[in-house]
Amino acid sequence: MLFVFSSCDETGVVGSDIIDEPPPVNADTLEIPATEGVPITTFSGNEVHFSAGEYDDNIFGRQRITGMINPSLSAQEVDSIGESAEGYLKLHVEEVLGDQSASASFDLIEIERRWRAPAWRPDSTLEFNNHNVVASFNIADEDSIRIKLDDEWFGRYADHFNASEDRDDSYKEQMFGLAIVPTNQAKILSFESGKTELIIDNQVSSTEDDDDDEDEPGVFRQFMRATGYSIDRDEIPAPGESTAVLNTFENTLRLKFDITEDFIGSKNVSRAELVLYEDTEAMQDLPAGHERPEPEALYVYMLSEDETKRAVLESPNLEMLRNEDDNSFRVNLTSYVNANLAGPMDERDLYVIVKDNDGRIIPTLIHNETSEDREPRILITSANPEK
Amino acid sequence: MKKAAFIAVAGFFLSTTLHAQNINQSLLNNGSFYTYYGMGLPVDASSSTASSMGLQGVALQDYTLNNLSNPAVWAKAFNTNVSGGFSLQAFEASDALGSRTNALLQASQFQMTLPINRERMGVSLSLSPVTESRFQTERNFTSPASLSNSGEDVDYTVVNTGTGGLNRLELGFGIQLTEGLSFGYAPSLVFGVLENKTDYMFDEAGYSNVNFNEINSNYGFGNRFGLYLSRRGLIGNNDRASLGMTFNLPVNLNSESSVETDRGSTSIDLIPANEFGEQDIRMPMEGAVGFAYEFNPQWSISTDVLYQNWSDYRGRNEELFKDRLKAGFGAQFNAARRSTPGGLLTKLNYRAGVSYDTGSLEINETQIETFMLTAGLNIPTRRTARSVSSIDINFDFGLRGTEASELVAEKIYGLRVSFNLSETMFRQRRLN
Repeated sequence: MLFVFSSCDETGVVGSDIIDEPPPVNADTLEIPATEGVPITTFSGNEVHFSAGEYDDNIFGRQRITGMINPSLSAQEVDSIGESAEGYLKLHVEEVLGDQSASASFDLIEIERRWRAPAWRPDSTLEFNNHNVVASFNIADEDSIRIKLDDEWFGRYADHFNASEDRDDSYKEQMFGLAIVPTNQAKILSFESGKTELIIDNQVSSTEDDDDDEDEPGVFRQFMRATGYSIDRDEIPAPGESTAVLNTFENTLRLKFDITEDFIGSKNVSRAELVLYEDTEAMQDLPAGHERPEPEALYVYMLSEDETKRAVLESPNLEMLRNEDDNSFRVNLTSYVNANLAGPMDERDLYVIVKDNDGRIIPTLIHNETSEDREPRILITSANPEK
Repeated sequence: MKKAAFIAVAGFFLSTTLHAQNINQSLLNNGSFYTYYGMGLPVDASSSTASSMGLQGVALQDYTLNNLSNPAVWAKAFNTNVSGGFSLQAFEASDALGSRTNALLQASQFQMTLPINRERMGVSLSLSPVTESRFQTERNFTSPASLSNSGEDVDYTVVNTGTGGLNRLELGFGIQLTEGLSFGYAPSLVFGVLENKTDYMFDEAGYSNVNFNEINSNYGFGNRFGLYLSRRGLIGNNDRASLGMTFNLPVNLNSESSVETDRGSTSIDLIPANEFGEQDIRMPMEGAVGFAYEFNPQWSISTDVLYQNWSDYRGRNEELFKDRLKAGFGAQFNAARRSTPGGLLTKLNYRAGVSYDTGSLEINETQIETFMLTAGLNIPTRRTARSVSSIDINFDFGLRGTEASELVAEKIYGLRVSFNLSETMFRQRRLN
């Protein structure tokens, strides 16, 4: 524990020269005595993004992610799909983890079994037949890609669309969407769910330029009624002084400490700041041309032991913002500390993930208690009475 | 009706502890800067009559007015007297750094004197302040960036607020020993709570204001003794000479302190009383002697000297306390006792006095002296055969301390209003 008494400058007020100095404001640094990496269950469906791809990270190991989409069947823009119509899938890339220059290859494979996005978990198993390939595509450094879909699959989709009765029910019962299955090990791409579109071209225009025809007559779009992803990952390594932390809850950083007067050193806390340091040096150890998304912040969840055994649905309790000066993440913990010091101690522990569990894959390394000078800590500013 | 009014007034004062605690800070809630030290500044036990003449009043005796300072005078009780009131004081404090004005509005003492055997024995019940702590100081600080957790300079203000003081609840008697000589004794319970709150107020975002409040509770038992000697016709036919003496034994206080912090609507113990440890506080012995001379029923003068052995005081800041000597001289002119009746001004009692007080504090090798000028009016209310009540209005002006030696000089302005209910009660009716 570092213990500092602040010496102060004083400006004059009547009588200030002859009254006792008030106890000084103390600035203490408390090291959090124990941390551990804890996997927690959560859901991976219907997030803002969904991911797909395969990448062997030199720190976080191999991870293979299969994306899932299920186009909607909305007749708002047009009543029917023509016999000569063609279907395209348009994907917008938001984030890349892995070899930026490599081309990632994928198959679009029809999913064979019904799945429910709100209850889909990263470790849920997706059922599809590798022979039912609807399309194959490659992405190098494009921001978006338009993929021509197999006519047979699109024809069945059009049949459901054009059906006069119970078309939605029959569509739900017979077509379950498409899996985006990586076919090489290059990188993981995160796509924006809201911009993912099934483009239906009724071939009204004679133009054959596929790239610019989305506003032409006879072209309309269907957004996704469901998105999600599944992860197949090697064991997350534990590289010594740091702990791997992901935004997917696959490995959270549990901070283990009791907020007592003995630990904090005061019951009169003006400011308590939780500080975690990113292991920037290790994170920068990447092959040339490879990149990982940089976490902009960390989320802190306050969870009981029981809550960690169920899927986390709550919003985070705190957000730790990145301090670019020292690559730390900081959050004001004063209310939490004072509430614990004043009343019955909160039995919940703090669990840290990368912001945000939104369908992207963002890993980082956080220094743990074995670090020599960048261990997790709480900075306490307090004023304490003297007997 | 009068009894109902009396009970209401008495109840109000008895239910209002003179040093009320936890009063919200306001413009009228801060007194002398020097109440910061020890158990607060001593408040002299004197009636409104005596204080308007700059006196303790140990040699003053009036059948219609209370005397708080000398128990022996209670032997002379003729009427049942009840007195109380309030005071408003302003303190203009200045030092080399600046100036500040504080004001304090508060209830003063309550006293009831009952004759047991008229002019031979009387008893007194009183509640009066012994010390007074009412201060507020502010100081600004900066924690440099190198020592703050935020890595930036942190500005904050520390406000130190003191309230409370010691009170005396006293029940005593005076008895006439011989013609002209009376003795009095008054045991008392000395009690009170002093609170010293320290607020840390931060300018920077992310810092919460914090505070802690040291609460010091005290009780002990006091003993006062008094002698009063008076003789009429010493020089002239209408004159009266009086000599009064009082002696207070030291008061050992059982003192208990704790520290808590206010957090919203709850208080949290920071240092409980059992961890703070008990303290023994000794309040000093004191003695006073005074002389009064009535030239005639209209004119009188009086002087007295008070000595308090504060160097024997044990408690907070004890190293700063020195023996205290206070001397006063006053005169009064009772226009109502003149034989020629006139308008309102001829029915008043005029008083004035001056006092010098060495003070009980010595800071930076300088004693904190007080020089006071006082003046007052006694205004009779409607008088009947059984009631001679009156109202006192007193004005004070004083100078305390000095700006030299880094000290604080104060100009003191005071207004005191007291009521004196004086009524013949329990009178035996004789039927012919």
